[in-house]
Amino acid sequence: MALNFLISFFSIALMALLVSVNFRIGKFLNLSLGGLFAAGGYIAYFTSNPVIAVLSGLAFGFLLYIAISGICRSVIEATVLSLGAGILIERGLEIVHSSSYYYFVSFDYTNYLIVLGAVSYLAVFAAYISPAGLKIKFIESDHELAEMYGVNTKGVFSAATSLTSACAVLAGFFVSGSLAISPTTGFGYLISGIIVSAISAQLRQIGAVHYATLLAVSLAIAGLLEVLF
Amino acid sequence: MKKIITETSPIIIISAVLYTSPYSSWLFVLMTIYALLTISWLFMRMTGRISMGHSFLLGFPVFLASAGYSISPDVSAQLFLAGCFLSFTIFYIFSEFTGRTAFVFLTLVFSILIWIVSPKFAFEINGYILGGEVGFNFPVIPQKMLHIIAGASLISLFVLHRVVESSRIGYFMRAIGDDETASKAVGIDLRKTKALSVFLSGVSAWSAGLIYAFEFGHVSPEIFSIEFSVFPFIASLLASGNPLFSVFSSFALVYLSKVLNSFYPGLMGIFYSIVLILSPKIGRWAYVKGKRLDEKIR
Repeated sequence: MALNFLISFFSIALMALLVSVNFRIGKFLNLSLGGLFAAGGYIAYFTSNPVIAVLSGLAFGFLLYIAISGICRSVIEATVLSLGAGILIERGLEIVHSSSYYYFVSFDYTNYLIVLGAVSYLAVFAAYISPAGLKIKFIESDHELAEMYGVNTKGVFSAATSLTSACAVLAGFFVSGSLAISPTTGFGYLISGIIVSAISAQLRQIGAVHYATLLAVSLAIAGLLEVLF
Repeated sequence: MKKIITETSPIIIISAVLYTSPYSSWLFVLMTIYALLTISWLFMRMTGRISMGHSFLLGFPVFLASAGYSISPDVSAQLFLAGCFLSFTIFYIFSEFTGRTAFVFLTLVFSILIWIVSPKFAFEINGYILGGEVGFNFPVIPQKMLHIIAGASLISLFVLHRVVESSRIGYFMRAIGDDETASKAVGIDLRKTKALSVFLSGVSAWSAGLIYAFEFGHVSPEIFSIEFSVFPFIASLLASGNPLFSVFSSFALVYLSKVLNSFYPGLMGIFYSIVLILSPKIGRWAYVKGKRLDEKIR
């Protein structure tokens, strides 16, 4: 019971964290995270190797960073590009997914999602407390000004996109044991992440406080879902 | 007037040519559904609102209507009207209380949310469970009649778009699209103009939804799919925002989807995703080309 609640809480909180990091540092709504989450399930089904999940997530995130920084000039353009990337993954998975309606994996690593969620939040809090935290806050509040003052915005942006993509794929990999895998598996998680992130953003906080709010809102929503269902 | 006649004649010719065989007629109706969706999107874009969730405006009334049809045709008609009102209200609230960027996010997220939630909508009648991922049945009407209705709807809504575009209210809409604060300062009633833009967009999308339901005789949650949501954006992008070219690009995209999907199912989705990924580049290129073409025509 408590374990299920923790899994539900961390699945919402983790997706909200990934959406928020991309939006605050990369300045775009990363809609490819849903597709990446589903891709994690397929990697679990075909290879059972989490290293492949992490590496493919990192590679995809870096490619996404290159595409966005190369051709996009606004938040909307970058968001639409990430949507295209998400649809590309989903359609690619649909082509791969040919033998039956849903896939099921034989192992269950769902509990590791709790570890992944906790580690991700701790890493973000640590990043904000570290000397680099001030620079990240600077990028969050004014991206262009931070660049003018010599902050390595590109490095932070590429790291944020790559690491969050890897996290999304790994989350999908871990959760796959408790899911019926299909190309659209990730959309529900993505939407819940966006909703939590949007609610938390209303408080207009910067830095670690925002991520603490994400945890609180995720906890409230997970609690509400527990009561309702 | 001359311009409108010149622009509508190719649509009439295509409609007449495709009337000849059942398959081509079916394809024309399908093309028309997407072209109406694109016209609907263009109405909303006039006020600077880029909707990435137009599948909701198209699908919601007809989804409710098809659910109601399981009970009775009267309930179906009432639910359709209720769906039109609700979808109009929701999109109007979005356009009234959000900025341009937030509108893009909100419409997209909302349509994906409906897409995810709609398969959960099911109920039992006479021991049969209806809805869910399968969806609901809807009556079909004879193909030839549907062809004429679809063609007439497309031409009338295209003409309406052209008329509105060159009218006083059309200038107001474009002024809002350019600069909302300045439009307010010169006395344009933002609320009424935005409401009219959403309503006109709704009329076109609702017509497309009804024709869709009559064409397939069935409405499933797939009507809320991302493909429907991003289609008008892609069609308009490839046509550099020109309404006539947007109709033709919608036709071409539907035809292309038939060709590509016949090679391998799902190939069109890959094509859409590539266009979306390259959309910033394509958009700028198409904008410059469109401007030049516009100058040449003038």
